Amino acid sequence: MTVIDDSLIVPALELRGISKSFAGVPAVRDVSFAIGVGQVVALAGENGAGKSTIKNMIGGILRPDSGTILVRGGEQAASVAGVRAQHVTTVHQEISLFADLTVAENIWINSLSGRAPFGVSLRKLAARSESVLERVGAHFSPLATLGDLSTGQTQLVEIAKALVSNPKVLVLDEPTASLTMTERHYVFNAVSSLRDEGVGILFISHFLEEIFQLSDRIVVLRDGGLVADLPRKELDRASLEALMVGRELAAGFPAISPPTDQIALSVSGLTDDTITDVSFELRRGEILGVSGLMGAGRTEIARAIFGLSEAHGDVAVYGVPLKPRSPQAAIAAGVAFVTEDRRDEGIFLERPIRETLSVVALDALGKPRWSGVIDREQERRKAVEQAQQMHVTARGGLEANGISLSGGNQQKVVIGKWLETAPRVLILDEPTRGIDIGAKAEIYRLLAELAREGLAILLISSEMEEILGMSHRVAVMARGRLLGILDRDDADQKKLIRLATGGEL
Amino acid sequence: MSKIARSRSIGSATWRAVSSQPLIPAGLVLIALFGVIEPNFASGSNALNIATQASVLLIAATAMTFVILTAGIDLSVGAMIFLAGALVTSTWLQSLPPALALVLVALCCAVLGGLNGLGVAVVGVPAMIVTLATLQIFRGLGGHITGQRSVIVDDDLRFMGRGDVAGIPLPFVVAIAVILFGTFVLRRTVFGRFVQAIGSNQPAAMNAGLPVKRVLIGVYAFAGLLVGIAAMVQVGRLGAVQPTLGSGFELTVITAVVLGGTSLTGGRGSVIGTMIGALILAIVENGLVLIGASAYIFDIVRGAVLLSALLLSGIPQQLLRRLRADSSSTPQSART
Repeated sequence: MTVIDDSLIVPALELRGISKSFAGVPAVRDVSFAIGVGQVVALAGENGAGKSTIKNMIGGILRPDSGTILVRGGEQAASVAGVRAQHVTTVHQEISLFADLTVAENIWINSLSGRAPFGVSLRKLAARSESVLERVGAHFSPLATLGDLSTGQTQLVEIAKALVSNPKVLVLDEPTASLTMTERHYVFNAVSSLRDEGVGILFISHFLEEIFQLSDRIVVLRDGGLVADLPRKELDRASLEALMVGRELAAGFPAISPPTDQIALSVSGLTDDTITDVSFELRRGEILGVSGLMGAGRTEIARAIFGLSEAHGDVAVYGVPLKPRSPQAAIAAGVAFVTEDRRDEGIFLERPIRETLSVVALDALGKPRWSGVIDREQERRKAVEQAQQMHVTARGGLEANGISLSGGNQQKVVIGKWLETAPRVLILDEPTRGIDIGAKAEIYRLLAELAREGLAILLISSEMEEILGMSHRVAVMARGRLLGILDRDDADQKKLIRLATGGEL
Repeated sequence: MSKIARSRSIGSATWRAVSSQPLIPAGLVLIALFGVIEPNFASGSNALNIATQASVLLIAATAMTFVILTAGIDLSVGAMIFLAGALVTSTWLQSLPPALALVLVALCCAVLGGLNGLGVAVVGVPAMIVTLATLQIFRGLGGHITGQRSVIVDDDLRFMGRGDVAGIPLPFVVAIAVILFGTFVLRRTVFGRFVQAIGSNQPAAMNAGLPVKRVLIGVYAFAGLLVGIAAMVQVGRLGAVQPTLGSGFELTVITAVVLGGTSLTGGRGSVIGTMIGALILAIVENGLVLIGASAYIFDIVRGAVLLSALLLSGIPQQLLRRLRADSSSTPQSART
């Protein structure tokens, strides 16, 4: 790769002294940086650092309060359509495609208008889609209906759609969040070849490895301000994390104490549409990590144990079989399940935080107990206790709605709601996805403490470091089967990947 | 951490619901206008008159509030009132003591409401479709029982719609009792909390192991029971069951609930807000009659109110939020 000197060429995109406030609260403060032609710039920062605001200003969705944005040396257009006409394309994290249309129609949707009526030939669109689909490594027909695709495949369509807009500047917001290893690889290749064609790329990602793998320069934001704009080679993982957080991280993961020998959860022959004959045992005080690629069946194990899906096989909690399997029965037996999607499946965004904290254990708050009349004093007291124990930072108090909390605090509330039931087995699905490093460390500390107190924890995660750092043993899943369980000392990233991708040890 | 312990007063949910609905002050202005135009409007006797007229709406709207809080809807309310009226006049109940007959009819309505809930919760058909179907079934059954004629209601079955307690009309006393009971159930009981949780985020409610289906069936059955009570008040007042009884009434009921600040997407709302919405609608209707407006004017007003209530809901809250955000000028760190 040739090194391009920025100073000689007009950058593809330049931000000069950009500031933006919402209702008087600054989200971005005096940020300046440039994306050179044929350069990949990574935008790193914790949640709330201002990444999305910058993305939306570049895309023309938001206007900066002050400062200017230059597209190839010229003023940025004043509307979303105008910005798009300047060949600035944004791939948003929230997918903006049409489930009932075909892949081909979705890819070309922005260039369909302005054609003669009835002039759209699906066959021609499909033919024109073949090459771009190949480029992003998609192995599905352009005539497939979008709604039939997996989330990862849908993400590929979104990227293909961006490619056909002939971008000069491409903003990618967490483009790989839902992709498999192979799909990631293809997306990286597509990004690299765009760079070689001279496209300026802004790459926003939570995955620090990806940032180091893909970018030429790294721009770090913290609390809305720019704290670093450095060539990749001058940074390493630790220094980048320190820049993002603003302080040195406490050395990695907390120590976890050895588990007992008592079996807390035993699963044998668990089988449903996705998973086949899954068996394992989880001991009291143990953290069992579940690793595997997207779609390997990790979440399905949790849903089957918790009675949220139809599955055969036996599940027992401290020797007592769970039958019939339903969430109510699982909760009664002491199982708690923190789901993957906390916003859509865990927290009540439009209700007071107190209500999310108390909802699972509400039956126990009756006064008198059988009456179903809530003892509000006790409810309030318990909610406050739980929030303090979980170190929830709720600026508006517990009567504010759930939506007012940051991602990390929402997750703490969701975990806290389950601790109200005094569970004996805790299942967590991606507990730290999309939350910032500080909150992550707190959740790790909490899990270690809960395990020490005797809780049995099943930890499902896509982050290998988290799995390796927090588990006593690691179970590896692939294609719905549990391929093996490794001891912590035995496991490393290479072994996990080899197992997960079908290799032998 | 001391902030966390802070809690708001009891009425905060009601205040939040009402403050999300800017049409309420608009309604108050309109009422003041009627008072100026028509001197009889602001009289004590007219107030009692309005209270009596509004009572059926108040009861039915309390029922509808629960349904809408679960993000559902019940279009069968008017038809159920007709069917309940028809049952009251039917010969099967003639031999029973009047009070027992009315209790039986109310329970019957609860069962019919429960069937709505069964369709929504267990079969999984959208509430709008289920209740559109039962609307037709209930109206058909009622028409069959009454033979599509106007049927006179026996005097001893009319006590719910007549008489008074210490000068206050009995229908209004019943309505206030229903509203207080509804508020209690919604705010203070586990069932009420589950209703709001389900409306706010149904997948989260499922994952938390809440008995979602049972609660939904319970909500529609409870609504049926209250609608049954509303029907007894109505036929008691009218003294007859006509084929048009309750026709289109569900639209007034839904409008009252939405005007009272309850969100059609579920999870947010209050019975007291609904009461305010229903009273404003009833007062406006009464005022229109007094100034001699045609009956169709009220249809237009009602439709306009529903539409603008939906368009305008949430605006005062947004303003408040903006003001609050401006006053706390320094951003705080999100971490401890």
